[in-house]
Amino acid sequence: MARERPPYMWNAIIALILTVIIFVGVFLLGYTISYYKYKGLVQSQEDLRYSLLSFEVERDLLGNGCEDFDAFLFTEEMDHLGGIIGVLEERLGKNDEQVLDQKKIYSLLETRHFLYVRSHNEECEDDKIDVILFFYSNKEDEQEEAERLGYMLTTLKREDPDIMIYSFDYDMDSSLIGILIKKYNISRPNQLVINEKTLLNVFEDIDDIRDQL
Amino acid sequence: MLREIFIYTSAFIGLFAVIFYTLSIRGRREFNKKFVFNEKKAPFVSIVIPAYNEEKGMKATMESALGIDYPRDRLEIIVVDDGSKDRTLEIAKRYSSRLVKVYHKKNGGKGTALNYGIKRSKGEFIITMDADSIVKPDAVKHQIAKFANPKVMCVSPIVAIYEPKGILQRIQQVEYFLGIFLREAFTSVNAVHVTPGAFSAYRREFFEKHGYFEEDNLVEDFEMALRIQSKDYIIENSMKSIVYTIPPNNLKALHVQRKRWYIGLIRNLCNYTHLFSKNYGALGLLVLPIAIVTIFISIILTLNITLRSLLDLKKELMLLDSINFNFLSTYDFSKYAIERFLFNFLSDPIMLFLVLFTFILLGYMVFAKTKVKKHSAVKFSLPLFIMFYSFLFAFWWFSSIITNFISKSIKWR
Repeated sequence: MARERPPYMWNAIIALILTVIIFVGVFLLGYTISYYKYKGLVQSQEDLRYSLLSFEVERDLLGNGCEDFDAFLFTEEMDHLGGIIGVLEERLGKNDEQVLDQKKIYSLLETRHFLYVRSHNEECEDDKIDVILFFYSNKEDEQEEAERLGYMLTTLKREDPDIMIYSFDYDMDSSLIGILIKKYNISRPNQLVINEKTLLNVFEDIDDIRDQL
Repeated sequence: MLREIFIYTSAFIGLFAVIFYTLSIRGRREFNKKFVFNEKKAPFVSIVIPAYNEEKGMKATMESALGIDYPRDRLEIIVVDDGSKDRTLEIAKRYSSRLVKVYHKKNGGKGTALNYGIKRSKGEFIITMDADSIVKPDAVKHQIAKFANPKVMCVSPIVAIYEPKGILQRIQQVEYFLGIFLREAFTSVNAVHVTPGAFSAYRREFFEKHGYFEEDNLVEDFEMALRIQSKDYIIENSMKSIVYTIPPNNLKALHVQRKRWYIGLIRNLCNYTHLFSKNYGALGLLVLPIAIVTIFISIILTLNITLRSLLDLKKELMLLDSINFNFLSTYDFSKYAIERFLFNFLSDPIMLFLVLFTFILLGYMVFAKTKVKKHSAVKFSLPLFIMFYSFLFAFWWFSSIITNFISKSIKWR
């Protein structure tokens, strides 16, 4: 019996071509969404920088007192931008130049805000705000500890929104980070600076951090 | 990284298969219209119903068989009770008549019962019917019409679940709906490799030339399909011949059924390795290899995901412990939460493929639902299928592969 089988090769070839197109298309779509988000991030950081500056100038001009201080005006937005940078690092890669640049700008904005809060704390003894600096590391052997501390700090912030928490990438190649590390004598990654005191403690749970406030 | 490679390979193969089958199925609608049943030249048809401990479904099956719309003088129904220990024989005997013959034999397995019935039948075409099936009255006419091509040795029906109840039956319903699309697609390239025992029609000539059902085979209908393919005949599909089945509704019974199917599949494929060849067209070069690769990737991925989920669960518990199990604080209620979630989701190619395949599944269900309009409620079926099927599938296959290699004797019942 002759082996007569229905023709299928052409359908297979067309299917292969269409599969490649759709497959590449899905990756392109994901990349395009990340790229547009990156563009949005650049604009948002620019807007935030302008807002922070305006806020400080306004405060200096009007000479607002301790009771009028509102450090929390920008924290939600800053947290959001920090989260976006985290996702962009995953999508575009931690070593992507453009993501690194935005990360550095973000660290600058954070530091600016931190200095603003610090000056309020110096001027207004009765109305101090608790401030935590967190120097995390994304390196493989440090990641688990960083995630654990980050998790506790995020929870702490959600339970007590009056705490200001600033996170800095210990391994980032930035002169600003270098200055902060030197200033606060940060000897290793995943360390916390709580209200200007560098702590060498190992924090087992969230109460250990709360006890230091 | 390895996990991502497996996921993307699986997505690529899956997408290729979907597109290939969709392209292949074009033209089937017009092709199917050519086959019209000729009442004046109706051939003699024998319906063989093997039964073992089927007292629950026997009455409905018998009434369904008697309700078949086919010239009465050209039809016979043969029930073979395979040594049942319940009231199956008693119920079947109530229907004994000129049209219905009931036989009783010592228990020997479904294959022996089928062959017993076929050898005592006189039809030019034999239809094997499961004793827990309900068939649409016009099914036989549409199947017989497809035998107009003398090279067609078997015509399979479309199988759906009768009014699915519970989570398990709803999950299986999506699987059966997938099967409806796939079987029609396989038919278009003569690559059908499973003919459902529920209501498949065979040309008697094939049994006489190439032998009856293998009596010691766990899935004799699967072996028969492979045998027909290996002899270069055609297996057709009748989209208008609808048969409803009632599948297992508990995990244990479902597991037993699937193990039998999959172990049977492994053993039969081992005996028909020559089919994996370009000589058998799309069956050998695409359909069977894709099926095998899909099974392996599915097992590996599911094992990987399960292991990772368990490790993630352990990690999550440790993290929750560090925050005194304050669950509420783990949720982000900020105004940016939705925006961040959407970005995270839509920028991840794996999530995009998940969305794509969900739409594809939905398409299959719509296709099947247009064919099976009645008795097939679809509410909640798709979400349940997406949530649970891959784990069940991988577990059944894993269990079947292990059992196949450690146990030689697995009986039909």
